[in-house]
Amino acid sequence: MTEDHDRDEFVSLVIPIDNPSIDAKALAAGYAAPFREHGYGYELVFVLDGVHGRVLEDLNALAAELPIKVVRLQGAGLGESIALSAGAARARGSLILSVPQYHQVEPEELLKVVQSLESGADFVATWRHPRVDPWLNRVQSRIFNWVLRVVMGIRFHDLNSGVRGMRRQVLDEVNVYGELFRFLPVLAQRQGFKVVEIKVRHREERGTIAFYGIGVYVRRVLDILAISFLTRFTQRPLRFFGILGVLAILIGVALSVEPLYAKAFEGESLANRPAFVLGVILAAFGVQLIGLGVIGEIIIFTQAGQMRDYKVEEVLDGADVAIDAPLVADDVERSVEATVEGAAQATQNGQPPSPPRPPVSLVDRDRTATRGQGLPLRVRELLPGEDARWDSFVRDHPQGSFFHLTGWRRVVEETFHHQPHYLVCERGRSWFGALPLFFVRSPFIGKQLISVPYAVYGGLLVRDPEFQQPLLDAAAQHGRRLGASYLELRHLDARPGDRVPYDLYVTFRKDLPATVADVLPSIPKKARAEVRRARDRFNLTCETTGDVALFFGLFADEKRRLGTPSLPLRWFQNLVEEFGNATVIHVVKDPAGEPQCAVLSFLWRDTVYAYYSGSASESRGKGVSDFVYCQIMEWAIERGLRRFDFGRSRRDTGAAKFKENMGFVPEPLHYDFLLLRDGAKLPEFHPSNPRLEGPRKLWSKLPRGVASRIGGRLSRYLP
Amino acid sequence: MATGAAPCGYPARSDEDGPLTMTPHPSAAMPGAGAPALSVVVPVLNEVQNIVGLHAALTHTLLAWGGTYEVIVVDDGSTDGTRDVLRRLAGEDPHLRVYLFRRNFGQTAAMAQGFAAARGSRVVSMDGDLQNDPADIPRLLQRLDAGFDVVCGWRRHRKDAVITRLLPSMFANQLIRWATGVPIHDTGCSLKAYRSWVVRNLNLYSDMHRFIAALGAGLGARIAEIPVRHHPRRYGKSKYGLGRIFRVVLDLVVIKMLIQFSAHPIRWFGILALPLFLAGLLLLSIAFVKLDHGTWQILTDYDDVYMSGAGILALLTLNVFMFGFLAELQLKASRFFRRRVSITAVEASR
Repeated sequence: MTEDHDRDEFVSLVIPIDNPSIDAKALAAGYAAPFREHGYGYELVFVLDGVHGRVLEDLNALAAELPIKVVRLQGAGLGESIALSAGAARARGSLILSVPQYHQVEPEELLKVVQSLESGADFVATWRHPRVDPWLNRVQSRIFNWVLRVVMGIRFHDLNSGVRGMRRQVLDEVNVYGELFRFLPVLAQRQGFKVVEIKVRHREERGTIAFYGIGVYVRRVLDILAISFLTRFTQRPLRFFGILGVLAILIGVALSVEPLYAKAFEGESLANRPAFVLGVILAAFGVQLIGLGVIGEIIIFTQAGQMRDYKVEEVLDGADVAIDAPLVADDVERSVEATVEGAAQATQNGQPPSPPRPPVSLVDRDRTATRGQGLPLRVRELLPGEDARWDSFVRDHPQGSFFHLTGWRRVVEETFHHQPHYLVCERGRSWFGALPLFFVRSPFIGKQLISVPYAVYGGLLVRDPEFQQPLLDAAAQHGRRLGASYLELRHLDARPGDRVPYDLYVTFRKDLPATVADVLPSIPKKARAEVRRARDRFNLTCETTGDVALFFGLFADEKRRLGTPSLPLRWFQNLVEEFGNATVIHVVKDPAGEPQCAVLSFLWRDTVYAYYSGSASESRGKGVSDFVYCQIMEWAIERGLRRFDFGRSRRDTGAAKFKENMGFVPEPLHYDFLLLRDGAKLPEFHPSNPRLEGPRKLWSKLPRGVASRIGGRLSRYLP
Repeated sequence: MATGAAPCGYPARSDEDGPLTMTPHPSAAMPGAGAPALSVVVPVLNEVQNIVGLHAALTHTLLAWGGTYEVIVVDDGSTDGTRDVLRRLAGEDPHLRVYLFRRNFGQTAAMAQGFAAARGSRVVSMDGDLQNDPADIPRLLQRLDAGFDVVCGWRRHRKDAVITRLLPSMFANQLIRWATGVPIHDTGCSLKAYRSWVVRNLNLYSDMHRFIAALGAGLGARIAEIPVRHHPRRYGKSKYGLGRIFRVVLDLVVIKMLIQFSAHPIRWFGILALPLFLAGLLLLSIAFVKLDHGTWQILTDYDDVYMSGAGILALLTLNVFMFGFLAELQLKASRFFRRRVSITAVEASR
């Protein structure tokens, strides 16, 4: 990789042309525009499949202005597979986009494909969504793709889409011929390439309403059958033929047994028993099939030396450490991140960034400037395949929290089916800001965008305050389009800007003492007495457990007593599954082994977040809560963690008092709201609202099973 | 590719003259100057908790053993961080070479890659889950040097679940022993030692790694077996289940055929055709001959159904024979035997 280019990757668009009447000028200009604007190195490779005359002249004329290459195939009607291979062979880009000879999708959308490739995908399949072509075509295409999905287990939605993006390596390793280019994503995936599918905006469909004819579909289905056979049974033909053969023999025998019996013992003639003839033929057919399978096995056995079906991605040679370089880390970008982080840290502490910087970072900063120079700043949604990059951005950002991680997004999506809109702000390939958002629709609080639901912290992550506004503008635009009334940003610390503050909550955080022995002395006297009482008088013990259901029982029970709907069990199961060792459940048991109280905590950096808790009703007055948190602190210190996060509470509630009694000092949370509609009001649907007193009382009277069942559903609307 | 270019189907000797750099093609890695005395091949899949311990144990054993060695780890598409650990280890240990598969391609593929990359004149394969004990390697090698080509480990006291693993395995072993005629107790044990000519001539694909001993016997290798230690699984999950037994049975048919008849497939097809031929003959005789009051009589008004049945069977017999010819043709065309002969002969002259 060189630092001189704005972009590391050079993009080649391969455009097979077999229609002599197209407007080559408009086509080329349209495809070139987005790449020129965003500073990509690019070229357009036109592959003329039996086309001469005007198109060729136009292209030659255009070559003065645009980076155009023209490849002429000898012969005509050779098809897209050959055109694609020929074009790719003469293209110089590391990224190859095959695009149709008319603007099937918005040219701007091609950038999405390229970005997906840049972010680590090997192949990008596109899904034209929503479709704009005539209904008949749409129905045919949908049925075709549906059949493939259901019958063949292919998970792509739109194999016929003309836009495909791939790394050069894919074409080098996957042979395409005939109509197989359509199935490139499937073939690439089977070869072990990383394939992602992204939605693109459909623009126009050439042609009129047409039924393609049954022949087209029969051919395509045969193609996919061949692919499926080749990829699944090439190694063991007998497994395929053998099963069919044995089946045929069994059916054949079953059919002919009865007539034979009748002949042997009852003297009936076989002449008028068609079942017998059919049976014999089937059995004979079965033997042949097995024979074919055996021949297949012999072919494979003798040829196995030549066909290596597996692909080595990387070789690490202990004798040669140079190969062992990190795959993705971009040194320049790394060092830049470090300096900008420093700036963000300074603003976070409320001081202006100090002007004199160490010379090294000055150099780096200059390099970022040149790196991104001339490229527009833009905000876009996170693409599939970028989760790891997002997570590393969050990890490297001083304000990043556990709830910013994409894992949280997956759990929310999977449990509650809210729609995520994770935005990134980038210039060139460098990211400068991120904003995780979920669109939540609820009968209680209306439509809104939340960063991040079910979390106590969320909101903007930016390298520099200047990147805040573009992100917020884009979010607001999204919100208005979706009809949301406001944007809720759950910021932990104050951010610049003029938004509606929301100061219902405070949070409690504290540094942990250095050693386990210091935990008890560090908490106030009264709480300390409670801990001792729990430990010495009631003989309670604390342990960690993997039993999510046990935790959930206690959690749901406490929520019901408090009169709020509980989150569903699935939520906790998904959390534990997603985050694995970054979650831990502590449970307190009495000497009889009865669970008294349980706490689900998250681990993030050097902090333990004691996040969800629940206790049994009979545990009151035993000092259970003081005891369990004390135990978690000790547990965390043993694991080398430094900070304890007690989570948020509403001001002046019992929970807040309890946390203060444990020696924590309330810190205001700087949640703020961006109103997206005139007359939009802040939500008042929270337990402190006196108008909700009645419903809450009622809720706590509900039977346990009913409450937890309805609660799970309701909690979808209470983010 | 080197294989295609060389006249005998194997790389020309010039490959061995230069400094030994890793070439991507498997058969280019012939033992030559500077090649280690031993290659240890370890396929791994999601063994993040075991891999460091395994590496330490191997290093300890092999350094004590004293010869030159290399360890080849093939990662079969792990997703649990095994790769990061391997990356780190490869940066520290010059004996270690790691191949990372792009995705999961199966244990046989991993083993094939490991064998292809092995440069030593002796090769040891073992599991990556620490159930095999690296301390057994010197004993295997000793046995190998006593005049054998393949030495198999026999987990005499297995530490596995009885119902799901031991019983099916005992059944499978019995079946394999009976079918292949190779007297090995424990075909499933990955801990084996080979002379390099054997592994280079094994065409491993699909689930063939279970039949390495049998395939080796088919090549003419002399096979021995010694008991080895077996430890219970410490971390991670076993990647086997009960379902494999059915496929093993089907594979056995093929292995039997490949071993015993690969030189003359027409014999195998002949055996397949024989019952068909006999059945046809039977039908024919029923149609024409009848035992009437103690005397055989030739019928003139024969039964149509028997005749057509006999006709079908005759065609089928012919058909199966034709398949046999096809198979012979394939064998001829593939230069299979010339390759085999050449590699065995090279080894003998060394």
